[in-house]
Amino acid sequence: MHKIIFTGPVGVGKTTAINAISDIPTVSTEQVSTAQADNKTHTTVALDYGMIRLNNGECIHIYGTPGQGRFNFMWKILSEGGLGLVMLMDNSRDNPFDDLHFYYNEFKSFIAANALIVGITHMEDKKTPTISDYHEQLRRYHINPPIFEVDGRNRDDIRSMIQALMYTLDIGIVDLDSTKNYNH
Amino acid sequence: MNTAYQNSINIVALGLDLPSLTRLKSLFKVFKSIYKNECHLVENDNADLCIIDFDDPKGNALWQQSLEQYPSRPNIIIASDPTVVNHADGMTKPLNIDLLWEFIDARYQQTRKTTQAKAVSGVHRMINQQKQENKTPVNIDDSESLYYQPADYLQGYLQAKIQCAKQEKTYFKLNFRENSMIIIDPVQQMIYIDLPTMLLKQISQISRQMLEIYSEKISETQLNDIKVKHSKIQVYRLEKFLWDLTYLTANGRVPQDTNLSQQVFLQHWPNFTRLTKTPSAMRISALLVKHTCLLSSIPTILRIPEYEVFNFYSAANVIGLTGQTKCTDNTYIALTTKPEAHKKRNILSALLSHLGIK
Ligand SMILES: Nc1nc2c(ncn2[C@@H]2O[C@H](COP(=O)(O)OP(=O)(O)OP(=O)(O)O)[C@@H](O)[C@H]2O)c(=O)[nH]1
Ligand SMILES: [Mg+2]
Repeated sequence: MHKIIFTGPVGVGKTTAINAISDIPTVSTEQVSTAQADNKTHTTVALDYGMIRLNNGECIHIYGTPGQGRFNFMWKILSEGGLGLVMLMDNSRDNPFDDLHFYYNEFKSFIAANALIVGITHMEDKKTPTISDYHEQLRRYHINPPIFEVDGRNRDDIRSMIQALMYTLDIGIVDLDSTKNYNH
Repeated sequence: MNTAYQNSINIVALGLDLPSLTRLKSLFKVFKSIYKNECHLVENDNADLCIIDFDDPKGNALWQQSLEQYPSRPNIIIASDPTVVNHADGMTKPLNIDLLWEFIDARYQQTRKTTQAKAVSGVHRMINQQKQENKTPVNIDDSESLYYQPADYLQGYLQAKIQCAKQEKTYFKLNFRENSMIIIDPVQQMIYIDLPTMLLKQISQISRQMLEIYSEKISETQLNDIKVKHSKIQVYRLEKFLWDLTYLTANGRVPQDTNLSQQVFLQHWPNFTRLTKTPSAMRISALLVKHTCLLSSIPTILRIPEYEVFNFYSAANVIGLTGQTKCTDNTYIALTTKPEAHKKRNILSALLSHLGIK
């Protein structure tokens, strides 16, 4: 089993991002939202599930955690067999750093054993904090993960996050953009 | 008479292609900084020792020839196949920098001890001595090709203007011939540009002195006017524009003040979703956010051409992400061995292919 986990607060764009890269329509357990996220009619209550079918017949399972609290018990189960964690942060929320530290601590041991990428959404609504500010926050944990500005609706952004996550796990995967057959 | 190479180790490299020769040259620069010893690439007849690439189809023949013609000259054989290199004078690729130096140094010391005592043939020796005095380097080594001075190009000029624009919180307009222009917007951190891409590419590489360029401050109203009048004007994020321009300017080189014998690191990942994902940039980033290492060892570790590393370093340097001093932050680990492959490398690789990245 190979899994990638998406996590982050309500309305950050988890369901949308998983949809952007899944080969199957995302299986979501959505309900009419009770959270205060503006213009948001639906929220994920249990989990999101998407899947990527690889050429070699294997599958990557993509799980999204619910954004609202009280569901922490599920996250441990979801984390088993995971390759890495995509943590999405919503820059337009009141205290995005509180979210950052909350989710980091929830997934601390998973992050230490696997890999992390942070995607900051809604930066077009609010420019600060900046990407550098987020890096500064994570320095205290002595980790230096990729942090990209993303839009959950933009497939290229989500692909770039996955790409960085893969290279964080293994820098030896050959990048075909580069000159081939370079010997020494 | 050329005396420049009298106190140095003169090496001929046989069977190596041009990129490998270029890499070897930069390794020599590292040797010079670390071990205070100069190595130079010279022609066959002038060499103190010889490096032969056995991956070249003629490798073996070149080696035989070298043994016959210069029996007292040591050879270092390099090859990808360890069984080929299972030889006292062999090294397996990718070459370990320190080990290569040890090989060169040991063999050079050995020749110095033996050459005086051991006569080759009388005639041969006379010819060799004559050549020794007229030693000329093969013309592939010029230090300019590794470094460039950003201030000599549009890149440096633009960087300086951006700094002024930020300090003074004003818009700057750089005017080029034929109404072409670049406008710096320090408030929104944007660049407006009316300049054909081909022209930008050309002017990024010519000397700043040759550029007919003048700058002026403009107001917000003037900027808005220009935006309306110039339909072809394009807008870029400042950071992305600088990144791209630096790639064009660096052209496989690093800024003059780069110390190639010092380890480098990256403060943090570049924001790749809003920058051009240049070749190997993600892999170099993944390496340098975790490890400190010599720029010259990255091509070997990642098996990529040196110019990709140098271009990346120049661009990351422009946006303030690189560090060169000894890093005390324990986020970074000095790289001693090649990082291990992930146990699911095939899966990771297949996923990248699937997403159309690989
Ligand atoms: N402006 C903006 N909107 C986004 C972005 N990403 C997603 N959205 C939109 O935000 C809304 C919420 O996205 P979802 O994907 O449902 O968010 P979620 O994280 O799954 O939310 P929960 O399930 O409630 O935790 C949708 O209308 C998306 O189209 C972004 O980067 N910027
Ligand atoms: Mg959702």
